[in-house]
Amino acid sequence: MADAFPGLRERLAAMGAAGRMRRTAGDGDRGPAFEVRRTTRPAHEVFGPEGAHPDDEGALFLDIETTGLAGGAGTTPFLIGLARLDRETVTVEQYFLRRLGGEPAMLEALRGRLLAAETLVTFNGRRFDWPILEARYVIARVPLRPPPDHADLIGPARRLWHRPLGTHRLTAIERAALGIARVDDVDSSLIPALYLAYLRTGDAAGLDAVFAHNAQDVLCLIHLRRRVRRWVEAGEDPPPPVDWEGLGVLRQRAGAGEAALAALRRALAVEDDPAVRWRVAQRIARLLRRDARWDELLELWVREAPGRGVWRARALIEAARVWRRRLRQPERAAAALEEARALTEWLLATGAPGAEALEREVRAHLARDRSPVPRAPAGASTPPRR
Amino acid sequence: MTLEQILDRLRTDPTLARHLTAWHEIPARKGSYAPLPADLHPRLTAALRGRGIERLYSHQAQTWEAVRAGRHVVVVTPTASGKTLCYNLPVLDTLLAEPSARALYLFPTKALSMDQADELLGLVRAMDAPILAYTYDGDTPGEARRAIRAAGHVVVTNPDMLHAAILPHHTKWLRLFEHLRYIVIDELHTYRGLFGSHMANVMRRLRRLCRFYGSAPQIVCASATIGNPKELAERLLEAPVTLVDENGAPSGPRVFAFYNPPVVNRELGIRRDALSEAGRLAAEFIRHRIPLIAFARSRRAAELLTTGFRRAAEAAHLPPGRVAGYRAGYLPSERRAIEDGLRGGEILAVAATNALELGIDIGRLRAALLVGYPGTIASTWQQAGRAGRTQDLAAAILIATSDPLDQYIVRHPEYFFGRPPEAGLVNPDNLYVLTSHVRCAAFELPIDGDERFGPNTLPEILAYLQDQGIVHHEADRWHYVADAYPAQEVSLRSASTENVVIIDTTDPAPRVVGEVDLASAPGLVHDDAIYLHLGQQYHVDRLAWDERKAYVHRVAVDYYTTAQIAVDIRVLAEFARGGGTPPPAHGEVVVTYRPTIYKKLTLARHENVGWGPIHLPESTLHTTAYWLVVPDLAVPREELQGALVALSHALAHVASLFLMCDPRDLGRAYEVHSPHTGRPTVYLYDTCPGGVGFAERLYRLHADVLAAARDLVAACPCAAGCPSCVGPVLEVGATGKARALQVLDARLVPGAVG
Repeated sequence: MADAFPGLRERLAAMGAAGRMRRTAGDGDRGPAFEVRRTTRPAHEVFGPEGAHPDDEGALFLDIETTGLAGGAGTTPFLIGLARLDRETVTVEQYFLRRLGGEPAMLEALRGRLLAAETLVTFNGRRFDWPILEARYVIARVPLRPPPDHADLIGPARRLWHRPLGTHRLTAIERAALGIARVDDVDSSLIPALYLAYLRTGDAAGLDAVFAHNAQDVLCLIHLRRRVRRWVEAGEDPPPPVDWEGLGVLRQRAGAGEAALAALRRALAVEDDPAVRWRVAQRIARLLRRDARWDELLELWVREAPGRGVWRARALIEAARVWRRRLRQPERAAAALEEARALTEWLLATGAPGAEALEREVRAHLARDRSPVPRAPAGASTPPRR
Repeated sequence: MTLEQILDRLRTDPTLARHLTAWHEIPARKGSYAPLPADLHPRLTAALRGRGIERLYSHQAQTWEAVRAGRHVVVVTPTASGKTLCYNLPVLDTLLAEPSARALYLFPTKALSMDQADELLGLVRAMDAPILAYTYDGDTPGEARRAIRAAGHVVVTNPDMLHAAILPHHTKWLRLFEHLRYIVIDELHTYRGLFGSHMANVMRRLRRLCRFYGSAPQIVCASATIGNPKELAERLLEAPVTLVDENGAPSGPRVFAFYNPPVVNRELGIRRDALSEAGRLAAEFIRHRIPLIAFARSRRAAELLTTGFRRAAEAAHLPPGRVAGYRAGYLPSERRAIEDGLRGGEILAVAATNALELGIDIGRLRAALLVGYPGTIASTWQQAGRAGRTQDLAAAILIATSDPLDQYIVRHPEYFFGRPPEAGLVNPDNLYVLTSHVRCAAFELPIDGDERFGPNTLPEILAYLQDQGIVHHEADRWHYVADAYPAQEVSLRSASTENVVIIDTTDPAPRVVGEVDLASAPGLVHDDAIYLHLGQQYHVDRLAWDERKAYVHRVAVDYYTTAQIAVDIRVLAEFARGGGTPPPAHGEVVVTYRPTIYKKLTLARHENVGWGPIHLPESTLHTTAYWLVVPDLAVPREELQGALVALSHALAHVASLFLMCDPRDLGRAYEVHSPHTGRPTVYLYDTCPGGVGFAERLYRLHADVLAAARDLVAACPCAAGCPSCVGPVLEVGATGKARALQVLDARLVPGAVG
């Protein structure tokens, strides 16, 4: 523990009573304790001819800069960036804590904006920004209620870009997917230290980059939200790199089934990793089964999905299931299973990984298929249970 | 045979009886009762009656009265005297009347938390009341945590969780803090030394947050018997506390005997192994179906005892499931099954570590075997108390090992039986501990310029933290500004959170075999050391100091290693000097450790068969010490040195007895010519940075410590030194023991030597 406080005793001894008296640079009343910087620009300047999305007009885009990333009661947001839209303009407001003592007043001023928002849009705000704000309001003893709707874009971002980019950090996405390159951006890990330096010296020059960074972040949220909407809800295809499987999942959740299928098929077409291919094929199969599209389902297992080795054998098993249960052609099902069995035998002989589990599976299917074909009307939307 | 007959034989059989050094009979005592309080909530009264409780023990009633009067209370009564009801009564009564009220229960261990939450819930169910009690610890899943924060009336947790998870996230616990009516601290006696010093600061933080949220909880503490419960509680809570210490629970007659195994090697002072002696005695109890608990000092010893129990059970034609082991490291479900088995009587005998010493309910057994002195009088009574029913005879037998403490205790039973249990010492104002918690407190809420947090050094500490970039001073408030979560870096249980991990690389897949704390690492796991773990020898191939890892492989060799660590001690400030000539003193010191060489000694004859250098950085410790100036003996330097080693060995062991601490919590050093005192000097220092108050206490107990050390050395049958008194002859030389005794004898008559 002694190491945690280097020279504690010596330093305390040296400070003595002088320590009590010392006044530091942040002291005294020098101007207001917090300030709001507001800029309003025409929407087309920010978004080009696209304009703003009409549904985003009641939304509040929010991003905060804090004294630390640890969370908990000791993390103070010193810069709170907000963006709002109307048909013609984009307004960015930045609430900046000039002195730490100004926090209650700043929170009071901010409160109306938070309460008026129909939807809060953030990036990782469910875990970071909102809980921190909630904690600050509790400490300031000012009541606050959560917005009716909170869209945290980190979820879609992870689905769309984590695999191709190896990260889902906002700046990386911005560059790769939105085609925006930041100039002279500040590394966010340095931000707490820059603010501390400002508190100590009173010199805000070092913070210009932080203001710019924060403004860029909230504007980026607007961009990201509209693009994600276009790609997910409107079915437009995003430019690469993108995780097509992730897009398929998001579209499926948004109720865009056809577009989801298209994205998942595209994922299957470009994906090399057999395990991922298999997962994607299962997702496609679920969608097809839901709509009783048996021919396409068969096509999936016979032509689109199969890879090699174990995966091919598994696809054959799936194909057999379609033949037997959906298309009522037990002979063809048996043929597919037989092919799967032969392949499995060869895989076992060559010691392919996963072959043993596969063999058990094939055997179970073969045993089941000796039982009579279940008597349910062909094309039933819910498959009969075994 | 009945227990009476077994005890009778033990006392009369000459081969056994001559090893009994004490036979202490405690008569039965009647219970003292009080009616259920008239103002108790009717539903609670009904629930108690439903469980067959028609009246209270007097201490339960007294606690009720004191809590009713708005006081903080500490209840001190022995094991299984209905302590839990003392605090559950007022808490449940309040919760029945005010559903918005909240209570926080703190137990030192997770296992206890579970046990107590169950007991509380049992009462709640009996009342059919909408009261929710939850345990909140590291195992609580995320979903449940949210529910507990929002709706738990009683939150049962441990100080570590409170410190690292609840206080730093207090805003999420708004309801708890706003409506907190009671804080219950059970097993108060465990909060002593460094752990207690941390606990006192956690309480400062907790009560600070309560003030912020506008609550002023009452605190009810329960403790096993210790010497200073009121003082300890007041130190921990920094508020006046009412003491309830008249036990109203009845108990049957009891016998407490001390057994010292026979000496087998007089030269080395080695006695017959306490574990095998315990095994023989236990077999006797098991054979006659006497419910039994045996306490061992280590997990390994508990395991060995368990094996012995199995054999005894087999010989007595009992199914193996009727005996069990119990120690840390067992799964919670396994422990539960054993506790239930003991309560229900399905398990006849259990071999445990002190994991079973605390208040887990295992019913009452008839015999307790203590294998080795548990280290403190308080612990010893606590363990012995596990045997003792309300009416029947019960017995406790302490079996001594060759350790100096054990030997002192069994040869001086009057010390044990005549003395109140040790006092629990804490030093909440230890600068390092305090600074850690000031940092945590600032994280939780800004600190106001006129705020108090412990001693009046707060402004200096905050100014220091400002220099470190941790807080920022503005308009007479200190705001936390560092990008770190301070509670994570502060462990309540040890001075240093750092350990060296020992990795066995014998097999292709490396395996972690254990850890040693950083301070002990240079002496135990330096390059080429032989490290012993669970009876296996390991050769240390490399100690990667910066990585905090020691790479070892299994070996079987006929030697062991012992490191020479040069300890330099420098006095920075003398706080007090005693009267008499020459005087004892205490003060602030810097201790420097410099590992130099290691020696290889044969296992058989402890002969030196080689040595090597140790290349490790030196380390320093800033702490407090007690020192003793030794009169100049007119002897050659080597003899003087031997005498000082001998003195420090004996003093350190006796001192740990008075301090209620682990012998390892106390370091010892000597100087043949101290630059500070100008004389030969022996130092005992606190091994926790900053000290937890041992030095000052020793200074005050100076005369007692010297007298006890003298008795220990004088009564030891060894010729010229053994591990049980002044240390082995190899270390103290031929005259070490005699010279040490000469000094100790002389010092009892102040001024007789000069």
